[in-house]
Amino acid sequence: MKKFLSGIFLLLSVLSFWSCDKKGKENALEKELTGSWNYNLEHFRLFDGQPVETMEIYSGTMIFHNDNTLEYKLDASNALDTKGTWKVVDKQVYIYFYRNFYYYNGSYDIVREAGKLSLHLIYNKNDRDAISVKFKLTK
Amino acid sequence: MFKLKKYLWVSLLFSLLLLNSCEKKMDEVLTIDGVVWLAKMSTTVIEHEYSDHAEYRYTMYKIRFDKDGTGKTGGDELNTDFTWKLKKDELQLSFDDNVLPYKLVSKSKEKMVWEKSYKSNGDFATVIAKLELIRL
Repeated sequence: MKKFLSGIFLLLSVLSFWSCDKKGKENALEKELTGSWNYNLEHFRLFDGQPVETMEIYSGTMIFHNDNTLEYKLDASNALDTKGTWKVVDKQVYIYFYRNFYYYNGSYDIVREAGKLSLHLIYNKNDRDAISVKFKLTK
Repeated sequence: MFKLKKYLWVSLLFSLLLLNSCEKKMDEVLTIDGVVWLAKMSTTVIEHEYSDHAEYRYTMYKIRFDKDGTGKTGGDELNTDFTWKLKKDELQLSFDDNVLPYKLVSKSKEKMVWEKSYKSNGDFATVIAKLELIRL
């Protein structure tokens, strides 16, 4: 009886702690993203979920600092380099570029495919149209 | 028997303390002032006649609510002034003479969601403006 009750209370304690500690998982995602990444950007217009028009494809470097600031650089030119803010919440990363790339602002799904990370945003969703932005990240 | 009761009380107290600490963390969310938030605003337009539904591009900025009812917003620098009021589950933001009242939709430790809706184009469309506040 005593063991059974101690088990119940231990379980209750662990559940209480676990329910308060979802933040820990988000910290792990933030920690994983923190640092310098090379990116390949694909910016498409979608129709019925399929890419029908390529809007932009380019590459560069994105640095996620641990104070939630961001540096964004393009390989092709440094004239458009900018800074921003980022934060992981609810398994998404919110990215805000201070200048130039306002159409990339938003909350990106963090996708893990074949061990590689990518950030995916769909915006301007209509019944059949949408715009897709995907950052493929490599170290 | 006495030892068992004592053990149960200690275990129960421990569980309640953990739950209480969780509640305190949740209550912190209600404190909107004093920290900088990342704000994301998006709009959804529902055309009633055509059952059309469109979600539009986001606007993002950083925002800080000060205790005296004023605030600052902007990008790398917070340089635009506004005033605000919080009444129960309604947040009123005033930029110049425009008062924007938002209703609280959800809250968690790191994120608040507020919405306001209004009719557009007569009664043919409803616009829902969603404001997400992410704690930095």
